[in-house]
Amino acid sequence: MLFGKCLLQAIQTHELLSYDDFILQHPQREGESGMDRLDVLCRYKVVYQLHTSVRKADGKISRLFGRSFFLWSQCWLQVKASTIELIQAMNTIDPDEVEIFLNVYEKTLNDTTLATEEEELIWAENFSEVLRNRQRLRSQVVAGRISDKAQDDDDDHDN
Amino acid sequence: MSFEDHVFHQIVPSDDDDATTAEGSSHHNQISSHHTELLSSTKDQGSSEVEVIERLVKEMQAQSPSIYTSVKNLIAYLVGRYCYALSTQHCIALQCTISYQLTSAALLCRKRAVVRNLQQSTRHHALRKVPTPGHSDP
Repeated sequence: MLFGKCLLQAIQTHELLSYDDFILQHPQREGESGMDRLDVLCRYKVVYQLHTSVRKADGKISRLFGRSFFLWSQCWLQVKASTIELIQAMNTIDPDEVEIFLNVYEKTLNDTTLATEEEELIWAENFSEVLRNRQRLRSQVVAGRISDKAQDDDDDHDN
Repeated sequence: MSFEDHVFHQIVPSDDDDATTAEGSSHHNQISSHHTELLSSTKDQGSSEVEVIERLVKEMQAQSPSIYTSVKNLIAYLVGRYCYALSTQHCIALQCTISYQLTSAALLCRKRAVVRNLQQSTRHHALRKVPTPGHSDP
């Protein structure tokens, strides 16, 4: 719970770079097409404007934004560093534990096309429903294995 | 109207919901053309920018649930792994420590329930008659 609180706190207090600073600190990458670059800049403008609107209305960033907040603003590394600072300030937690917690979360952010076990669960709109589906899937796999095994045993017996 | 609706309503008109949820490549091309329009315009950005933002907000909202939900899910996931490790007696010390830190009072109760089940199961197995080699169990 502590890790989660610190991560959410770091997200709420994080200040996004101004548009001009973002351009300077995130220059166009080698091999990045012009259209892709325009997409990145436009998305940053959008996330920045929304972030400002939410702040003005005293809203919670973590409640109103999803994964796109990190992807479009490219601020995960700064948020991660702030979270580590907040947790370590308490002096009671092993740094390795913090690393593991944040790395699991980071893994689900970096490649949204890779459906990892963690990604499916962590970004589930309905956690319980995903768990139930996974359980159902496992039962089907087990039933399939039992059926295959029985078939193999029958074949061996016939031979 | 919830707070979330209120905030986004300032930018996204609610009566435009259905029109801005289209998916697919044509939708993406439409967004890209708006990006170009927005970024190339230096004087009158008013209407085009609002339009781009409407569409991109929808795109952003469609991509994932809130960060808060994901953090909550991550904690539940780690605690779940801990309970599983405990129930299968394959505890990894570090993982247990992490989960211990994450675990709230309610989840500690769940952990105790797993331990209790495990103890009962162990006792049950201990009480079972051990079959004699060479004799079938009646």
